[in-house]
Amino acid sequence: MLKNFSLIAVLGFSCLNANAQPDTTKLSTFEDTLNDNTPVFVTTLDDIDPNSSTGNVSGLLQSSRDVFASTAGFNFFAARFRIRGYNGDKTTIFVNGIPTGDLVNGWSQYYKWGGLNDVTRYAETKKWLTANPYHFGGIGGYSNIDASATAIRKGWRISYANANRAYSHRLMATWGTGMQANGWAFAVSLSGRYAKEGYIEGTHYNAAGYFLSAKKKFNERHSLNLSVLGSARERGRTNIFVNEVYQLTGNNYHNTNWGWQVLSSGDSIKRNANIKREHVPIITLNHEWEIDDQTKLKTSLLTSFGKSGRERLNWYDAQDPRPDYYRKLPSYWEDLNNQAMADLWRQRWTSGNTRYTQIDWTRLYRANDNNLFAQEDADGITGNTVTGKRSKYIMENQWNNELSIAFASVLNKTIDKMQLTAGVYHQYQRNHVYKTISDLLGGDYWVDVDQFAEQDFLDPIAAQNNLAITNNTVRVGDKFGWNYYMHNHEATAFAQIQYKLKKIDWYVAAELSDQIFYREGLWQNGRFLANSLGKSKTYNFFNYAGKAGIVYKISGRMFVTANAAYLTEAPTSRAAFISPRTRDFTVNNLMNETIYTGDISYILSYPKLKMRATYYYMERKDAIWSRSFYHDEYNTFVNYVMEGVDYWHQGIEFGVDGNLVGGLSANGVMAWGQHLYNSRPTAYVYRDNSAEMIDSNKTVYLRNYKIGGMPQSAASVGLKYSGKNYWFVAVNFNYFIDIYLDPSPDKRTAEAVEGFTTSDPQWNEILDQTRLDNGYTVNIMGGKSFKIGDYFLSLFGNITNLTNNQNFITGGFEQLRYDKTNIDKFPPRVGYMLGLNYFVMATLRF
Amino acid sequence: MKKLLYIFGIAAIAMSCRKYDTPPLTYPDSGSFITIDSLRQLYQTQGPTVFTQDLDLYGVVTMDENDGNIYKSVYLQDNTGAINVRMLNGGGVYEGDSVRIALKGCYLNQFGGVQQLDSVDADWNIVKIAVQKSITPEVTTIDQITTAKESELIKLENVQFVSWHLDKTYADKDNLQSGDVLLEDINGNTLVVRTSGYASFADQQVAQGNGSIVLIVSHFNGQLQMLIRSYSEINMNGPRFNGLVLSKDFNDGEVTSGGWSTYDVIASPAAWETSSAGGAPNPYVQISNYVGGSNYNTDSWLISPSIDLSGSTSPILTFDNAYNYNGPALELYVSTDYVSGDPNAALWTNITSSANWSGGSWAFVTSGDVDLSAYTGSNVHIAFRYQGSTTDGSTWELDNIIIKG
Repeated sequence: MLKNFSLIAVLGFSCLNANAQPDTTKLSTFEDTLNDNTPVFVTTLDDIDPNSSTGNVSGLLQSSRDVFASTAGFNFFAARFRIRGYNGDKTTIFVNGIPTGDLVNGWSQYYKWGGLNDVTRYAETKKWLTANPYHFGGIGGYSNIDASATAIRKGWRISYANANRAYSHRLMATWGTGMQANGWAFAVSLSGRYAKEGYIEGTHYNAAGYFLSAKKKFNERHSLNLSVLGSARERGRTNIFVNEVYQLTGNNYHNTNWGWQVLSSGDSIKRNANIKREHVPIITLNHEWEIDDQTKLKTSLLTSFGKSGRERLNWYDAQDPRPDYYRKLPSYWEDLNNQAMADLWRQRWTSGNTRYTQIDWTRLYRANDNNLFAQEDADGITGNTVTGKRSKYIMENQWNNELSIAFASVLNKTIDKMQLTAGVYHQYQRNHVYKTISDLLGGDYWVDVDQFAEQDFLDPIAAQNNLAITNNTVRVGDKFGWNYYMHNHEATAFAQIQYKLKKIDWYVAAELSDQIFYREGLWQNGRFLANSLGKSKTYNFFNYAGKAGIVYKISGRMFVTANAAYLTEAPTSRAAFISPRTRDFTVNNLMNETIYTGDISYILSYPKLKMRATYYYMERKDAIWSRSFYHDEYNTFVNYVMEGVDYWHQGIEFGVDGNLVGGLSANGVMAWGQHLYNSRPTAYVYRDNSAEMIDSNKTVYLRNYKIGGMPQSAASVGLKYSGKNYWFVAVNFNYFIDIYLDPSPDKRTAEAVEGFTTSDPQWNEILDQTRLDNGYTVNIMGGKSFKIGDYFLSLFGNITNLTNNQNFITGGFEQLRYDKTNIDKFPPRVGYMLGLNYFVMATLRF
Repeated sequence: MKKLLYIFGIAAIAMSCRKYDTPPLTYPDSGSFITIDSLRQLYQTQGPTVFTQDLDLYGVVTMDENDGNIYKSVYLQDNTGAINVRMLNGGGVYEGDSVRIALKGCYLNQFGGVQQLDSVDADWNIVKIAVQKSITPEVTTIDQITTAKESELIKLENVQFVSWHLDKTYADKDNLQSGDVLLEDINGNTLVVRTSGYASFADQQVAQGNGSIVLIVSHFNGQLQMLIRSYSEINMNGPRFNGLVLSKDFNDGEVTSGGWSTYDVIASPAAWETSSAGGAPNPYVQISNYVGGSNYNTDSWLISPSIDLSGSTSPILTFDNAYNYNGPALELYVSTDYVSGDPNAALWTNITSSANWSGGSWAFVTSGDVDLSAYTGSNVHIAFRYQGSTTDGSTWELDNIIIKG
């Protein structure tokens, strides 16, 4: 068993580099956001296993016991349902009590501990406004991963899982000593995940996670814990595409990212052109000091550093190599009334010839091989000519490497019925953002110049990405393109009072916070001579937040709760900077966001009947929205920024779980929500490769458009049967309602409908928001546990989308590029929910 | 346990990404060899041709797409001639590249009278042999340039852009519209330089001085239009010679373009209009008072824009003229105080006798040098006055009205 395990673990490590920061500036960002940050609370599907229901956490709204969250988490995941419609930045994830959010964009970074389920399984989780013993926390609740040596149960725990989702195999081994008589506790957990190919063709998966922890209890008052947890992962990705691609290939999961690469042996393998790698371990040092029986001081240091990157194709003065480039689709030619070309491309797609339906690697290599080129004045040296095969196509690594250092100290004091919590926290984060050449695809060098600038500007300096080495001929491993640091600081102080009375519990909390960020350019860019090199202006935002809540105990089984919060939040450095790869420009009117929110719940908690009904409301004002894309009207890459974007959420969450008869219980969950844009933001459009502002003060009529990419509402009904001999089986039917494509702002401007009148069919075609069909899934799960001597064996499995429903579009987005003269030229990109998929696992404990 | 940790440690440190080999690559087969000249002759005999055999064309790229003046297209030259090569996709072929073009799968075609090698897949048909094999442009003069030099690389020396184009840009970059500007030599020969609105230098003001320029010869159905292959090869900073101050050739088919105007002192159906009748290679302007079977009383003027002779030392007017049928002779005037509208509001000097006039029967003659030195330092208008009566009237034709500095 051990041998096997280490073998797979090693396989899982075949490539250890990394990224996960979706990059802000390109169109693909948006796809990344959809694909990678599916903002569901559960980290991975397999977090839901029967072992987790024996949680060790108390609390009224603890997730695994909450009837709404436990069902919604597993059953709504596949449809991209988001609890309360919130993004992932509204939930704070702690490791050993220290916040781990990414200061650049505010999001939680699950990838840092991916695969370490034996460590994260028992995370203490609350999903909404609530008191918080560690930090003020987000309005979407918090989750604390106790990654200390004593969090791991004494003994061994070894499990193997098999699935057909992102990965095929997972092996985990976890060992802990528990607190020993000598005051030491040790714990180790290792995990390997592997797929030659996941559910979607061409998506490989190699990952390995490790956790090492030691705790020393010096005496009754002091203990110290050191933990290291990390996860290295490489995975081949898919994107979402226009429906035409799926129709032409007859496959709703067609992935154009891979292609056949011929090896020297003559064999061919599937090579993915869009690979993510990340390895950003976390090291924490925690000191716990029980000053007296009523007073505890927890002081922690956290550091996290590593590499995180995306490997992708880039090309210079060459055809777009992506099979789904719009000019390679029949619809493009049909719009031009060129039936011959339309037929040709249709035939190429439908023939299944992978030269057209996938990346044609051989063609890319050949184009490079043939591109003999003499670069004059190369490498910053006048008269220096470098002759060789200049790559037209390369694979490049886009790095976003984080270095974080955080300090947190929290004092908990119990005075009679009152619990006082106060804490300070500071985090510094530096992200090093740059590119390196990963593979020259048979060429000898790449020249580090910007093709768009070369075409648009006469001055040859404008094309240079790094003025220190003009016409730099770069090779594998060399930095090129862009190179800068983003520095972020966050400092907070908070205090909280909780009061527990017989009929009423209440709390109030307040936080003061300060955010500082600035950019530090390492290269001088030829297009932004005065704004690229060195430190930018420092931006500083001071904010405050307050919240309060009450629980009224009608009886020991019946509660009414109410919570409310008001906070202001700094814009993130990601939102503030416009195209920071090349310059230090920011959004015009940087201002704090304002959020107010509240919820009220009615809760029943009987042994045989659990129920929760909640109404919530949230408003978020003055947010920034920015994307970069190719703008057809302006014939150039642009940064599209909206200021003053308001969001509005309200809804009802309802969950019930009751015993019917014997071991049979039934559950039902309903989430009705309204998640809307609630303002008319002002748009500014900046050229990506010059300082020019193309358009300003453009009003975007977004009010009352639905926030897309998720079902606004969802419902589930299920049955569960628990047998006497430690087995159970459960089935749920889930239904998803009101799914919209996220609106493209440029289509909702006066300019977009200029020339049309309200009676023209185009008027509504442009302005209407696309509503997708409602969809359903059926999920089942089951498990059984055995005790064999001192060994515990448990088996668990689940199947998602049992009916293999492959026609359910769970999300997508309208393309930001928009051609007024041909409004269908850039149809939306959509993604389908995976068909039948399963997960089975066997766990041995001893 | 330790062993396990050890293995994990090693694995975690190993940063070994998969390395891929270059897959086996194929290039188009070599066939027999054809010159550009033979290719042109092939078109003369066969018309549009699809190549189905392995056949190789060798040459050096003389113009690439780098400056954006041409798109998905390059010019190729060998020692027998030159040809425009149009590619299915742009990029990757540069000036100075010595290439083999495997013709199988390509088309031989023409557009606007210019021969093209079409549908060339730059990633397949074009095989690079060497780089930096630039061809030295042939130094020639404007009068030597004909369509016979189609697609060839040439260099002109001691040329300048005409004075009334000096405030223009090479093209209209804002609206992505092509633009024409006129080059002249010291002998008064002119040549159109055409630039794409997509060119990186489209928004640049034309070169102000005298000097050399490297061009690709092109034409549209016989009308010559040169292409600037690279903005950096416009080397025109020297002092200007006294070039043309006016040129009106009516080749655009417009009577009033360039600031020209007409005025009927007596209302009449007779009108100045362009025509190519009589087998003229390009349009001229004509007027006749014989309309619908009758002669009309006519006094109609064709008036030039204001011509600045302040920089001229010995300005000379030339034009071509022809007439037929009996009637009053065409008259030539010059004025220093005409503004606009009715010519009778200004003072005109009749200089008809300074020019040579046609002897009739549609025979074009050149006016000879009409000396305008008396007006040096002034702004002048010149005008042609056509007259006719109800009993008779000639048809007059004018072309190539030029004033040299």
